[in-house]
Amino acid sequence: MASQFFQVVVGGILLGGIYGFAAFGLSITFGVLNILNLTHGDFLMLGSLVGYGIFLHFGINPFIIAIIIIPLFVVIGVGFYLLLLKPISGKPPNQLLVASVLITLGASIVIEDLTSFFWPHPITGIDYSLPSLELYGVVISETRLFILLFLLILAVSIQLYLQKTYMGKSIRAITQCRGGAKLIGIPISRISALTFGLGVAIAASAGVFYITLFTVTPVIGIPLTVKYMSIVVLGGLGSLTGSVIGGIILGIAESLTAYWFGAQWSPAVSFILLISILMIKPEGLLGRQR
Amino acid sequence: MLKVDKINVFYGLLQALWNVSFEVQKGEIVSFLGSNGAGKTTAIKTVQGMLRASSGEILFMDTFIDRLDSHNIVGLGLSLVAEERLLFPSMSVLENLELGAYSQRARAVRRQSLEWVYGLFPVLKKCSRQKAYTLSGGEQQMVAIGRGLMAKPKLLMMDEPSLGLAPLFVGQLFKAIEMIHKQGVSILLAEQNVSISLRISKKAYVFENGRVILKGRAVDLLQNENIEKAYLGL
Repeated sequence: MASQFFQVVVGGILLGGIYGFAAFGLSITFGVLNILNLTHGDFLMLGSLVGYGIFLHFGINPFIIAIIIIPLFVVIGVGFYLLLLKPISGKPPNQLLVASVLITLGASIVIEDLTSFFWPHPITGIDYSLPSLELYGVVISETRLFILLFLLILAVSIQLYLQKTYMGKSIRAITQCRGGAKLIGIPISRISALTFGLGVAIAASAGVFYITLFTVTPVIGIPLTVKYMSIVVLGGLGSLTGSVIGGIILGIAESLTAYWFGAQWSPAVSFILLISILMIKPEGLLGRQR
Repeated sequence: MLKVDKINVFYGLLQALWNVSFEVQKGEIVSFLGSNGAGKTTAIKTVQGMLRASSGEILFMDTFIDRLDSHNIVGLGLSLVAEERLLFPSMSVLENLELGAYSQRARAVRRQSLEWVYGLFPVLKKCSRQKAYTLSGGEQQMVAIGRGLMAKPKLLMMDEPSLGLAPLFVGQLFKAIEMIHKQGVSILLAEQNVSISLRISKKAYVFENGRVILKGRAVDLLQNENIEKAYLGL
């Protein structure tokens, strides 16, 4: 019984790692650009499909695909930003948020419909698995373990990038004080475009792992975006550690709910967590009071 | 060095500046005086490119900057220390300062600049690892000025640097401003503290209701009793 419980918790942590990583992409986009990107989950879905295509045609290891897909999606993301979001970037914050929700919702529907047109069938995943590992009676999928390890390395690299480079520091500066960033001469619109590209690339990269574990259909986008939004609120805006912790909490909560009450209840958990955190600590677990 | 010619600035439909002109020569300290809402901040923010003038011209070191973006203006050697300070709260003092040297020109010499700033404000060296939001108001003001200096400005504009500081701090602050000036940086100062800013300034402009109503040499204005009236907005 106890080992079964741990089994579920460990599974939740592994799932939460992917959640947290993908959610961080949404978090930096929101922090820097002040816009809510509802296409985030769709880019994860596109990342899955492109990753799947590469895997099918070239048989490259998914871990390598998850890396080579990053520059590709940075370019796609920057293009998306310049085409659809830059025109509204001059609006005052409250209008900007609403405008961005409308634009990205529209874009999300277009992406979903186009994808359904070209990929009529759900894709059941990259057939890639490593043998399982047994530790004190808890069976751990080695694939998931490696994915988690890999995500950890990616997350640490991103964290270093944000801490050490001028570009990374600019991203944090804009998140913390937009006016100050403008004042000292940070080119806000250029950094915004690159940040959007980075956020999209993180989603796509997470998507490659997603498809090794789950079934992907063209309509998973919006539900995933909502889930990541809950994680961002849970962990605190703009904090990578916060997103990862938020993701892991959600991952464990969902797994336990599925274990105790049945899988149909697990989507509700993210909303319950979202509402509770908004009532108890609205700035998020690691967020700073604004 | 800086020549602003008849700028008009609007906030939406509301006109905030009316035909405002002023000039800063190389090596000068120039003061903007006037009550709250008289237009000093608007004038400074327009020069920095945070606001746009609907008409008029702004010339800085032989370049028209009235249509340039903020980050290009900073690169030319014009820094603004804002009234709200606008520090990056969750970054350390050192990171705040380093980010001040953002333009290529400033980044190349950022080590020397950092030593210069630490020399002016030794406290900052001691608390360089501390997060900006943990500092006192006076220390935050020093970080804000230090961050402005890291951009290697030829002209440093300061908006109400003494606002909300303890009197002891105000004296130190103005000493630091004079030191910065002695090291070759021209200064444009918007201050409510009229007497002390006139004492260190060469000339001054008095703002009222979005217009420059009086300008002249600081020594003359110090004797002028209208200045107190204008300053109080009576």
